[in-house]
Formats: sequence, structure tokens, C-alpha cells
Amino acid sequence: MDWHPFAVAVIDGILLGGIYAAFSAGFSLVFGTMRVINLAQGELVMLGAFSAYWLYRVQAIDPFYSIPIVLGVLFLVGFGLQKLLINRIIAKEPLVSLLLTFGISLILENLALRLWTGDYRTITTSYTGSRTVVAGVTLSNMRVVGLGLAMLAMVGLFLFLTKTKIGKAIRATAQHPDAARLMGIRIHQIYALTFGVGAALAGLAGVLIALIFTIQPAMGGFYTLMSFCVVVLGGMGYVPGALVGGFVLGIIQTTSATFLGGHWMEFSIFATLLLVLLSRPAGILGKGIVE
Amino acid sequence: MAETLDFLLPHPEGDTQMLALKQLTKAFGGVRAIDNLTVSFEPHRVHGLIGPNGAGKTTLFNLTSGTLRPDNGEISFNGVPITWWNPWNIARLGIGRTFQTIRIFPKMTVLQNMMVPYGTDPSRSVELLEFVGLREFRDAPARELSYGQQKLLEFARALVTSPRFVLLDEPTAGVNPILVEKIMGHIRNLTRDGKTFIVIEHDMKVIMNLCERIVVLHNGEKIADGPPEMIKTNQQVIDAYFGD
Amino acid sequence: MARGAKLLTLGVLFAGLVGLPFFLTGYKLRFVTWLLMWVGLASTWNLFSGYTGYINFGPVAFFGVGAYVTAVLMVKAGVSFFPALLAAGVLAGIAALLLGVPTLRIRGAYFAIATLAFSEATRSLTLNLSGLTEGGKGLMLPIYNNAYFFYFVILGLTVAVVATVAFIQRTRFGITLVSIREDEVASQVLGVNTFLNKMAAFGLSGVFLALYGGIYAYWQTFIEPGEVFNVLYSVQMLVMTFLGGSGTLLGPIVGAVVLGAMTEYLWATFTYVYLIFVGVLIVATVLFLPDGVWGYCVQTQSRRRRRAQPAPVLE
Repeated sequence: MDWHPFAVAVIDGILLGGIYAAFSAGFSLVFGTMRVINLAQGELVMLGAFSAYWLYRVQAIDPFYSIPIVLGVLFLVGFGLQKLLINRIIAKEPLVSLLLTFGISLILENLALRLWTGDYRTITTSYTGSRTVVAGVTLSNMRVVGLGLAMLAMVGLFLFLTKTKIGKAIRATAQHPDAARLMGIRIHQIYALTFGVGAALAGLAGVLIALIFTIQPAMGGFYTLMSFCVVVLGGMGYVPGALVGGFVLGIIQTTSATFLGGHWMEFSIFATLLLVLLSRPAGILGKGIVE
Repeated sequence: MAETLDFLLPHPEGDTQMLALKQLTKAFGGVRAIDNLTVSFEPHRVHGLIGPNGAGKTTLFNLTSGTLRPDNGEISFNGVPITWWNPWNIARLGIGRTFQTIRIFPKMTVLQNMMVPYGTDPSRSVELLEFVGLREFRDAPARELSYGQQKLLEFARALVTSPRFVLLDEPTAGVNPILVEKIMGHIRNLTRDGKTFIVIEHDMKVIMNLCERIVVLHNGEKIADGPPEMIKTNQQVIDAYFGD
Repeated sequence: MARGAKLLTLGVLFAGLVGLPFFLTGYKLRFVTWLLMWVGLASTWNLFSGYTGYINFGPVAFFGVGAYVTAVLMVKAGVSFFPALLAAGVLAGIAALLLGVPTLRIRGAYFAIATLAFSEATRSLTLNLSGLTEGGKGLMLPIYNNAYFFYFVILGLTVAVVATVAFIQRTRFGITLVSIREDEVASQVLGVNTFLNKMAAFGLSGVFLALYGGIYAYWQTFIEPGEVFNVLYSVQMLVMTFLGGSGTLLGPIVGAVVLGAMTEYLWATFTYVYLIFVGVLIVATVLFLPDGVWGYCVQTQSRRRRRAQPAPVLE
């Protein structure tokens, strides 16, 4: 059998998967800490992507240099959303957060459409089209760099959550909000920080996506849906699981596209999602939160 | 009246074991909430179930009522094995329960709360409301009742299906002393009428006064089982509560 | 409202709805028909999700199944409309029960995501089985341009849905469904077979959704998977019910009429701004009126009624 197309598919899947993991990790973190399902996740990714685009278009800031700016801006956006809106409904069931974040996503998506129109945009720099050939496989440099940066972000998140005081406070709050409160942790502040971190990660993923794909303001819905898939596969609320989920989803996407044809790719993704939910809701690694 | 599953039970006169748990085990993650527990509960008495926090008392209730499934072991009710039954079938067989944190239906009215149980008819529901003194509140949303009133409601609601066996999880917690006496009185009267109660409590006065037999759990195991006088002086029990 | 006055109002309303189409033409008639359909769809979504609290994120799956089964039977098997519609309803009911068995075991957010996954998977499947469904090219049904026909069929179905919900509300079944929403575990230990109850409600809602889908297909004459399996339709049912007040009889009706009217008049002119406005509306409702507009009215009404009575004294 000719392994070449399979190998190419798997590699492509991994390259994609890293980015999926990056924007889904925040989604998982937010759910794990606050039981909030953020339907506006995709819109945060979109905002990151467009921030990079406009910074490049208007100020000629190289996308890689815009990363810190995007991280900061998206963090503030996320922090603000949580502090002003989401914190008010934090004690209620997940459905309420679903509705609230859906409302927010409508606002963000259509504000973007109103301001920037539905046109497709791309970032083209001197290096965005470059490729490398490794062992007979042609790789897009941006995708490789994207994977690298996404991995870096995941490592950073991991270190943040395990080594810093704030990160530990977040984890404590996630495991036992009442105990955390008794220990003097201001959990509403922690929630706002957590959402901010999740948003910043989404923003970073957005920048990477802007370097690889074309973007348009209505792209959010797709990424929110993908976040669901990644997080269910990897385990809801289990942040490291987002890596596994991301890679698995990426590989499912590329292999089904290669071997079953483009149309069946979508079906494969949703059928897998449904099967995992029904048979193993805690995810592939079995570490997700199941109520 | 209600078609309960009573017909499955052998004629209850002369049975000495009504609810029997055999080698029951349930673990959560690495923690054994119930560890190879064997205990039985005879009918027509008030049994106490005590132990320090985390001893496994509520887990025992959850396993018995079918809300949780055990990892190992058997539960039988008058000879009928109910280990893997669905909670609603266990309830229809004649086991009722209340919860540690009051679980009434907050947005439904008091009367509607009493109408939910399987096979009720309105007259019985109202009768029971009368019994606990909540009749005037029948049309109020349950969440508007005071804490003590909600406790009474949950108690009455558990009695609607005329269960032979009632599991009460901390029925007097957080309730004023007058109401505590009232509830204890209800339990005594109902026991005289033929019911059986297992009561989880932290209030030692209530347990010692109400129960003819007390089972003590610690770390999921039974460490003592006997009448109140014996339990009061049992060294292991004292260690469990004050040691560690 | 006194019983007599209620019946009179209903009678007048019904007479009005029956007579209405004869005073409207073309666009306006189409709009009212469309609005009636959405009143029915929102009420159907509410029947299951509003009362049991299990949020179905993929109701459009049954709508689309209904549309395609009807269409395929009419186009490829020469079946006439009503038998095809009936078959669609039955098939959807069976599909709902089959889906219900594994999914109704899981709770809350997971159930919502599972239904969404099912909806998207069904859409994709329909797209791919192009031999049967013509896939992305779309399917053309026999043309039938009788606007009055569709108005009355949809009116009939919507009246049936609303009447069903009204009926269920007064029965044991209704109380049982609400108890599932309020506290499923507590309901179970009281002897309620929550699984069977959920299945019944889920199956019923699936049937109604499919019937609307079949009628919609014949009405529009042309369908394609992206439209009749559109996630936004699911969202719209949810939002209409929620804005009006889920778990109430009139809530979805109020929500559908208000949102439907707004959509029709504002969407074309101010597309993006209108949707921003809807987003703000949803956020505001979640934060300030969680029971929806009608739900809020119901609450204030009953609170006022109780305050008017002398306060009972305990002991």
C-alpha cells in the first residue's frame, strides 16, 4: 500500500490539530473553572485574527510582532466580558451561560460584519506562502510555525496554571469554589482572569489562523463548533486533553477528507463527536468532567 | 390506588430482615465511600445511621434508593434483589427517602410538589399536607417557604406513596427545636403505624431519643451496631468522632 | 380570567385566524403563514425542552428529516402529499425514540451538544446521500401554489400543537415533566419513570417538527440540506421560546410573534444592526428577565394574587 497519502494526511492533521488545541484550550479552561460554555469562543478567535490583519494593514506591524498586542487586547476583552456580564449569572445552570454567550457572539459577529463587511481577507507577507520540503512531503511553513507557537502557548498555559500563584488559585477555584473562597481567594476576580486567559489564547490562535487561512467576520461559528469537538474528545474541563482532542480532530478531518472525499469529512467529524458523547462522555482520556 | 410493586414482596408478617445490604462497595476515584459493608435493617423500628462526615452515610442511602450503582455487593428488600434496579422501581417497591440538602421542586407549588409522586391521588396529598400543617400553603411556590417548612414538605412528600421504609437524611438539621420535636413525634407515630425509618443525623440527642438501634459508619465501614446505650460508650465510636 | 371569558376570547381569536387569509394577499398572507409556522415550531421546542429542561440544540434535524422524507416520497415514489407527510411524521417519531434512548441518559450541556452533533451529522448525511436526496443541488417538489391551502394546514397544525401543550399542562404528564426540570433525581426517588416521560415528550416533539418540515417543503417547493437543516432555525426556536418564557404555554407564542415580526421588518433593512439588537435583547433578557417576557408577567400576576389574600399563620 502506498503510505504517502496517509502520512501526508496525518502530518497535515497534526499541523491543524495544534491550532485547534490552542483555541480550544481556553474553552476547556473556562468550562472547567466556571462551568460556563462560551458560545462566543469562535468570535474571540475572529477578533484575534482581525486584530492581526488590521494591525498589519494599517500599521504595517508584522503579524508575529502583533501577537503580544493581540494577547493583551483579547485578555482585556475577555476580562471585561466576564466581569461585567458573565459573572452575574455564574451560579446558574449551564444553559444560562449558553444563552448569554450566544447573545454576546451575535453582537460581536454582527458588529464585525457591520464594521468590516463580509469580505474575505488574507494577510500576505513575504513569508506567508513559503514552503519547505521534508522527506518528500511539502509543508507550508506557516502551518509548521503555527504548530510550534501553538505548542509554546500550551506549554505556557501549563506552566502558568501549575507554577504561578494565580494559576494555582484558578485551579483551586475550579476544584472547589467554596473552599477557595474561604481561603480568601476572590473568586469573581479569578473568574474574570480565567476568561481573560481563555480569550487571550483564542486571540493567539486567531493570529495563527490569519497567517494560514483566509478570514472573514462570520468565521466564528465554525471555530466554536470545532472547539466543542476538540473539548469533548479531549475531556471537558481537562485542559491538557485539548491537545489530544485537537490532534485527533485534525487527523480525523484530514484523513477523512483524503480517503472519503471532502463531503464525508464533515459527517465523520460530527458522527465521531456524537459517538464519543454517547459512549464516553469523559473524553478519550476519560478525564473530562461529567455531571 | 397506586399500583406499586408491592405484590413482588412476600407476605410481610414474620420477616426479620427487611432491607439487607451485603458486601457493598462503592468507590469514587480512589476513595472508598462504602467498603465491603454488610448490614441489615429490621422492620417496624427507627434505625439510626451515624458517623463522622465522609463516613458514607449518604452514599449508603444513594445506593439503596437506586440513585447510585455499587461497584460490588447486593442490596435486597425482603428477599427481592434491588441492586441494579432503577430508582423509580425501588420507590414503587416501597422505599422512600429525603435528601440532606432539601430537594423540593422550587418553582412548583406545595400541592404540585405533593402530586408528583407515582400513583398519588389529590385527597391523599392534601391529607398529608394537613398532617404536617402545611395545608394553607398549598398554592404557594415551594421556594417561598421557610427552611423548616420546606423540610416538612419534603418529609410529607416522601410519605405520599405510603412507603414501608423511609430513609431520612438529616431530617432535623437546621430546624428550630419545636419543629425538631414535631418531626420526632411524626416519626414515632408513623413507626407505631407500621413504618420503618432509617435516620441519618448529627444531632446526638435526637438519635439517642428516637432510635432503638444505631449503626455507626466510619470510612465506609461499619464500626458499631447496637442500642443507644451501647453506642454511647463504645470506644471505637468515640475515637472515630474525636480521634484522627 | 373567568372560564367563560377565556373561551370567548379563544373563540374570537380562532374565528379571526380562520377569516384572516381572505383579507390578505400575496406577501402579507405568506408572512402570516410563516409567522404561524414559527409559533408552532417554538411551541413544539418548548413542549420538550421548556418543560423538561433538557435543551435540545438540534430540533431542526427532525424538521429537515420531515422535509426530506416528504419530498423524496413525493418526487421519487409518486406518493401524494398527505400520505407522504404522515410517513414523515411516523419516521421522525421513530428516529426520535431511537435517538432518545442513548441521549436522554446524559444531562445538561452534554445533551445539548449531542443533539447539535446529531443535527449537523444528519445535515451532512443528507448532503452526501445525493443519489437519494439530490444533495447540494436541492430537491424540487411538485408545484402547488395554493396559498390558502398552506395557511390552513399550518394553522391547523399550530392549533394542534398549542392545544396539546395546553392539555399536557393540566395532566399528570405535565407535572411529571416539570418535576424532571426542577429536580430529576428527586423525581425519580418519588417513583417517577423519568426516562419514559422524557422519551414520550421527545418523540412527540420530533413528530410535530417533522410535520412542519414536510409542510414547509411542499410550500417552498424547493429544498436543500443547508436550509432545512439550518442550525440557525434551531437557534431561532430556542431564542423565541426563551425570550417569551420557556415552560409556559403563551411564552413561545409571544416570543415567536414578537421576534418574527421584528425579523421580518427589520432584517431586510438593517441586517447586521438588527442581529446586534437581537444579541443585546438576549443578553438583557438573560440578565434581567430570565423567565422571559411572558414568564415574568405570569410570575408577577401570581405574586400579586397571593399578596391580595390574607397571610396564613403557621401554628
